[in-house]
Amino acid sequence: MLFHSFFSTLIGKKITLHLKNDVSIEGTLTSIDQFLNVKLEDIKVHNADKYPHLLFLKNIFVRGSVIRYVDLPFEEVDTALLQDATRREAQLLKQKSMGDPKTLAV
Amino acid sequence: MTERVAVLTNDGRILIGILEGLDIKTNLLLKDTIEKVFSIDSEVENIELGLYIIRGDSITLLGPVDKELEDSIKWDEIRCQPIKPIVH
Amino acid sequence: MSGVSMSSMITEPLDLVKLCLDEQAYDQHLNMVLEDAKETVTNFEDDRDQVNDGEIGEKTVQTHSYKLLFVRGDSVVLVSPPKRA
Repeated sequence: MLFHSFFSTLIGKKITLHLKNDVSIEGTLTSIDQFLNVKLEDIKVHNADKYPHLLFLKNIFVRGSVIRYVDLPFEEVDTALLQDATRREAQLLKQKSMGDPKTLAV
Repeated sequence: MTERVAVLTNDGRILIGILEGLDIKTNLLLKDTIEKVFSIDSEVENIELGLYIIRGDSITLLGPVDKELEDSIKWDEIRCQPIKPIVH
Repeated sequence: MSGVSMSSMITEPLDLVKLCLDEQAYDQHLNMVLEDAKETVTNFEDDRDQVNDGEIGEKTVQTHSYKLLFVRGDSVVLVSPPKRA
């Protein structure tokens, strides 16, 4: 949930996806769901000489599970806020797992 | 829905067809599907496949084919390796 | 902290991840956001014949730098704390 919320704050911003097939795609983030599937607008594939395969696409949907990295716009991110959210999420998870052993499986 | 969509699969294939249907798991039903086969020593080949169901979890990415962009591409001049498969 | 020993604070693997990534963002899938990330890719040319001869192909090293990088947890195999100066 943490990173879903985080990526929601980046909607409308330019990001670069590095996929697990070594393709890198730059574009404007238009949508993100709970699986971190993303929609990008006005895409540009890096190294277009090597990867001309997707030149006829402008807007795409990318499955979250095929993403390796996402290059983020540093200026647009409040890293302190993100660390805060991380601590809260970690604490919440810990409380859950201590209170109910069944939730340890998450 | 009569939109032509392009799908890149996890094994690096590119399939283009008319989107007839889809479900919550992004399984797709494509009509009049063709596969675009890229090769380093011959021009792009279009293989007719017909009606296709593609499992959602084998899809890397998909998007509507932009007609303008498609027409601007000199397909007979393109020579390139196929896209590598997804390695988790 | 003096009354509580360090080991009692660390009861599960994620506690160690927390120590490693104290200044970064992460979740239980090991998704994370790294600041000033550096990627090193080491490749040995995959020439099957050479491998059969017991030789390793030529080594190439590529590095990339990222100011801010989200890493998806499913490709993470190891997390190690940064070296303290």
